[in-house]
Order: sequence, then structure tokens, then C-alpha cells
Amino acid sequence: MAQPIVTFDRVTFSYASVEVLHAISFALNPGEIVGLLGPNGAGKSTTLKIMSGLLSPANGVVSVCGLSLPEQAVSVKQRIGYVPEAAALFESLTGEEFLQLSGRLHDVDEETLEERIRSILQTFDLYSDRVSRLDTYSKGMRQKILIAAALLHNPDLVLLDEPLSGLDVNASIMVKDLLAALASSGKTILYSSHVLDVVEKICTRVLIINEGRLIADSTPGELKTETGAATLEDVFRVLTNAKDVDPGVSRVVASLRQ
Amino acid sequence: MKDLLELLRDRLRRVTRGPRATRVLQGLGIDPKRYWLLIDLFDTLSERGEVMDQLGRNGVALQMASWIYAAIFGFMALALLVSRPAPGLYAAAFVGMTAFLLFFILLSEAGNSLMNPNEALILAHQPIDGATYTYAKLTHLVRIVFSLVPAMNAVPAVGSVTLPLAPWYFPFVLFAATLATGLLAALLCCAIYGWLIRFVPAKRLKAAGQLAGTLPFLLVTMMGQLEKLGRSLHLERWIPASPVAQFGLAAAAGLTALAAVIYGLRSLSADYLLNAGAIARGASHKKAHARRFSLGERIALWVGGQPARAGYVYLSRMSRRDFQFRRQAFPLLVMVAVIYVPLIARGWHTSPFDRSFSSMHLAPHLFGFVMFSMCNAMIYGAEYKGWWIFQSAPVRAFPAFARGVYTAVYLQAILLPHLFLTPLFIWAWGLWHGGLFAVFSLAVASIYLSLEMRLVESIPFTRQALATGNATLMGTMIAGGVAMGAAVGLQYFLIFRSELLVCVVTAGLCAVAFVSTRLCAAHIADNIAFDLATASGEASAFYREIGS
Repeated sequence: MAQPIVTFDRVTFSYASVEVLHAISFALNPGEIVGLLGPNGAGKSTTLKIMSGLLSPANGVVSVCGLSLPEQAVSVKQRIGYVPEAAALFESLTGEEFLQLSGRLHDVDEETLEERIRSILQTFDLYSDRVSRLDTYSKGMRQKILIAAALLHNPDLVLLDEPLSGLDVNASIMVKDLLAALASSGKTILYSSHVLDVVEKICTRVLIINEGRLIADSTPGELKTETGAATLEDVFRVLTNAKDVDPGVSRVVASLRQ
Repeated sequence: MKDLLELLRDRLRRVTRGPRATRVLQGLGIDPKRYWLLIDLFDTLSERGEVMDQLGRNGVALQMASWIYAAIFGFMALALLVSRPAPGLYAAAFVGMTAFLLFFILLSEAGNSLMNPNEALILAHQPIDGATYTYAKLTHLVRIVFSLVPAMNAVPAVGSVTLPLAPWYFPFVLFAATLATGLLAALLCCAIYGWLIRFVPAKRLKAAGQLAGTLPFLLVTMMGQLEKLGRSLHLERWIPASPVAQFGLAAAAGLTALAAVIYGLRSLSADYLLNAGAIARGASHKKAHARRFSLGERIALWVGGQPARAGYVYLSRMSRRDFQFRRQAFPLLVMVAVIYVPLIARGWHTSPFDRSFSSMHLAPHLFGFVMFSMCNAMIYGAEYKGWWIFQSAPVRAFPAFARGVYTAVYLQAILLPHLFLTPLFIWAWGLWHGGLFAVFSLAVASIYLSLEMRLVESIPFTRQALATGNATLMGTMIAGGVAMGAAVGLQYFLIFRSELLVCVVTAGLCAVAFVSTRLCAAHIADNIAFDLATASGEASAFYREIGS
């Protein structure tokens, strides 16, 4: 069996004095597409940020591509691609300039970089907008740029936080196919999302975090069998003890009528 | 000329990016390739107006600041040259002034670059080490030094040829000394932030940076106390008699200082990008108090309903939480607290109605002085991109919103301090004199505010900070001081010579304050509506709604 590309061993993390991750442990193997699920505030984005060297864990051991974090954060960042959930961009740069910046910071040689940028922009249908400033891009176009920037340097591990947010149907299908192709070529993909049917379709394994604890780590099929649920959405609701939404909806509607 | 400049720029570029410079950068632990990528990026962002709050990267602001300081220093040089001072004293005056002003400007610039890490948040997941990023961020301090120091000291240096006893090379020595002082100030500022980054927890760095920004004022203010402390400790006893030992002691002190600066500079490479998120968040983990329906909110509700209440609450909260505003306001408030208030308070026992001069005459103008800077700072905010929320509000809400904003400033900055001061005035000078002076001061401060709030050209805190703010602050303060002096002279020599005249003038000022306040609130509302309409490109909608 190949060495895991990511190892999380009893990792804890706190914002101020509030612990938001409680001794989480898991490993990701090469070629896997792993879904990272959890309710809002569960600790998914924090997990991704620790993995990408943006946050330093309070306790525990984190290793990515054989490099330990946070000590070797710069080397780790060289080998991963990260699409943040709500990323700011340099608005006055054009799409092409932003990708050039990202590729050059990752030390991609100029010829390869230009070729990759052209290819990705054409695939994402952004080639004609490459010289427009990012502040004129729509949300979906910006998301495509972020995904492109994460892939340009051919990373071993791709971390995606709600990557399909704002993408149209065709672009979403294309990204899903792209992820599958990348995984089959040995890349590891950690995919955090609330769109559970997409996760169910593309992920080979699912991690569910609730209130900072890892409550499930299995394939979608096994989770459905264990919980007796028909869909991943039902699995999620059972495992996270989701409340019935109807009373809340009624309360909101009633308050709007007042 | 243009071609020559281009050629020079090209040569400079080749030298700074050549193999020798690369080796120097590598020696400092900087990754040269990424360093130059970042420098180019920051320059592009400034050229395109995305980042405008860094003086060293904003050519227009730097030029403006250079002209202002050239004028101030030129004026000072003329004044000094008339008295024909000794060359040493002349040089010390300009080296000292250069050091103080640059320390003030560069501390603020370094703080803004490192404590407001917007670019760091975008670049945090890129493979850049802390040293490369922080040095790239601070490189613009060098540009500030090479722009401001020549502007400040060109006239004084040229003028120094007229000094008796000054050798022919004196202007060059003066110029070189001020330039060296400027570079030293830049290194010191970087070292101070290096120490802060190393030892202060990330979430407290913003607050620590604001405190650091007040260091020049505190140093100047405490100079007397430090001197007294030195005398009481009898420092001269610790200085050995032998010249060799003296030299050794001086060398040891110099080396210690150098080690401290180098340690500070090396600390800039600490895990800056790993902490960028925590630095940006600052103390935002603290839960805000669930506030009650305050008296101020009730007053705002009375003057304009719910939109006015929104304006009141918005201004009150943002002025306490916005980083850009606090960064600009904090040093000013410290300066007022440690310099002006004690200066004025020293004269409390002398009534402004006495024949002898009372420093209390300055009090009403101090409000105007402070509010001028506050109103200037209020336009800009760290979270200026949140302005869109106001665009979704109906234009008809803005007159009341503006009244709420005005009410917040008036109640908290003018009325409340006067309510606190009035009993003190009455206790010190009696009911009639104390009460009359309080009303006079309130009227003067209200007029100042109504004029200065006109500077607020948009919704407060919704514009990106401009680099000119802190760089021109000192110039503004000097000009404000002169105007304040003229007004105080008028008060002392004319108005306060007769109680009747004070009553008449106070009544007149109250009437002017009332009218001016009403007009100002309407003016702010128009400014806000126009600014939002211009920003959204819906000028026609604006005119239609205003007209209706």
C-alpha cells in the first residue's frame, strides 16, 4: 500500500480559547477523491486551512506529501493546490495576469506556464476574457480562475472548498470530470462541499466532521448501509442529528408577517 | 529627458535584479525570484488604484507630501537662517526634525503594511516564506526615505551656505546626515515591528501596532521626564573616566543597539503568512456586548426615525472597530491627551475673563482641531468594500441616516465632553463665568463640527484609505495650530475684554451653529446620495429621487 499523502494525527485547533477541532485523525491516500462534509461551523474550512499551511494546529501531527506542518509550510504550499471558499482576488489584475502570478510564484517555467494558462482558459471558456480585469468577472468566472490557479503547477494534492459555487451547469460537469481524471492520474483530491449529491457521485470516500469531531470516515455506500439511509443527504442528517427544519421555517415566515 | 529617466530606471532595474543584488537578498534569507514578483505585483496594484493606502507606492501622494514638507522645512530654514545659528545647531535642528517626522511617517506606514494584511490573505496559500513577503511589503519605506528626505532638506542644505563658519562642504554633509538618519529610521521602524511580530500574540498585533504608531509623540512628550530620570540615576557616575573605557562603553552600547535592530529585522521572517489571518482578525474573537437601546439611539430615533438610528449606531460602532480609522485617530488622541490637554488644563485656575492670559481660551478650538482630523479619517475604512449594502437602501433614507451620523459625532465628541467640563468650569470660575464660557465653547465647537463634517463626502468608512492621510497629518496640524492661534488671539484681545460682548458673540455663535448644523446634515445627505449614485453609475436615478 502506498504511503498516505496526508496524515492528520490527533489534531486540535482553537480560535482564541475556543477549541474548534478536537483530536481529529485521518489519512488520505494517492488517487483518492475524498469528500469532507459537515454542518456550518463544524471545522471543515479550518481542516483545509491547516492542511494547506495557513493555520498552525495547537496539538497533533500534520504531514502533507511527507512534509511536516507547519514547519515546512512553504514546501507544502509548493505541492498543493487550494481553492478557498470565499477567496479575495487582486481585482485590478486581469485573469491571465493572476494566473501568471500564481504560476510564477509556484516556479513553473514560463513556456509551460503560458501553454497551461492558454489550455485552461480555453477549457474554462475564459480565453476571450483573459485581458479583462477580475473586478469585471462574474462570480462563476472568478471561481474558474481560482480553480485554474490551483491546478496550474500540477499539484499532488488538491484541496477544494465549495469549488462549484457559482459555476454554471456545463462548467460544473467539466470540473467534476476534470477531478475524476486528475484522481485517476494519481492526484489526491479533498473536496469540501454542502452539495451532497455531487459528493456522492464523485467521491470514493467521505469524512464527516460535526462540532470539531470526525464522526464518519467511510465510502458513501458503506455509510448508507450502516445508517440504513437511502441517500448521502439522509446519512448526513442522521449522523449530525439534524433537526426538522419545518418549525424554523414557520417561525421566520410568521416574523415576516408581523 | 523622458528617455534619460527611462534609461536610468532600466539600469537601476538591471543592477537591483542582477547577480550581486540577488546574492545580497539570499544572504538576508529572501527568495529573490519571489521577492521581485511581489514587488512588481504591489507596484501594479498601486498603479491601478487597487492599493492606495501605501505612501511609498502612491506616486501622487508621495509627491504631494514631498511638496508640503519641502514648504514647511523651507520656511523653517528661512526662519533659522535669519538668526544665523552655529552650523552644528542648524544641522542638529534639521537632522532632529527629519528623524522625528520620518519616524512618525514610517512607523505608520510599516504598521499599515504589516498589520492590515489584505494582500497577505490572498497570497497566504502561495509558497512564499515570511522573510520574502515582509521585506517585499516594507521595501516601499526606502522609496519614502529617498523622496521625502531630499524634499525636506534641499532648501535647508542650500541655505546653509550662507551660514557664517560653515565650510563649503557643509550642505553635502547636512544632506548626507539627513539621508542616513532617514534610512536608520526606516530600519528602526522595521525592527520595531519585527520585535512586535516575534513577541506579541497575532491577535493583539493590530492594537500593539497602533500603540507603536504613537511612539514618536510619547518620546517627545516624555523627553523631560527621561532627562529627570537620567539625572536622578546619576548616570554620569556610570561613565568611566578613561577615554578608552568610554570608547569601549560606547562601542558596546552601539553593538547592543545594532544587535537589537538585526534581531528585529530577522524576526520579520517569523511565520508572518501563517499568522496573517489571525493578525487580520485582531481581537474580533471578542464577543460584542449586546447593547441596550441607548440614550443616543433614542435621540437619533427622535431626529430621524429608524434610518437615523441606523446612522447613529453605524458610526458609533465603526469608529470603535474600524482598523483604518483607529490607526489614524489613535496617535492623534494620544497626542491630544499627552500634549494639549495637560497644556490647557494647566491654566484652569485662570478664568478666560481675567486680564491675564488663560490657556483655557484654547479649549474650544481643540475640539475643532481634533474633529478636523477625525472627519478626514472618517471617510476611509478598512472594510470599504462593504459599501454595497448602502446601495441597496432607498435614497430617501439618507437625509435621516445623515442626521443619525451627525448626531452620533455631535453627542459623543462635542456635547458629552462639554457636559463633563461645564461643572468643572463652574466650580473653578463661578456659575456666571463658567456657564457662559461653557456655552461659548459649545457654540464654537459646534460650528467647527458643522464645517468639518462637510469633508465627509460619502458614507463614512466606505472609501479605501489614501496614503496622503498620515503623511500630511503633521502639515495639517501645523497649519491648524496657526489658525487656532489666530482665533485665540481674537478671543483674548477682543471678545473676552467685555462680558456683554461675550454674551452677544455667544448668542450669535449659537444661532450660526444651529443654522450651520442643519445645513451640514442636509449637505452630508446630498454627498452620500451623490457618491452612491456616481459609484453605481445611476446618476439619472439620483437626480430623479432628489428632485422628487
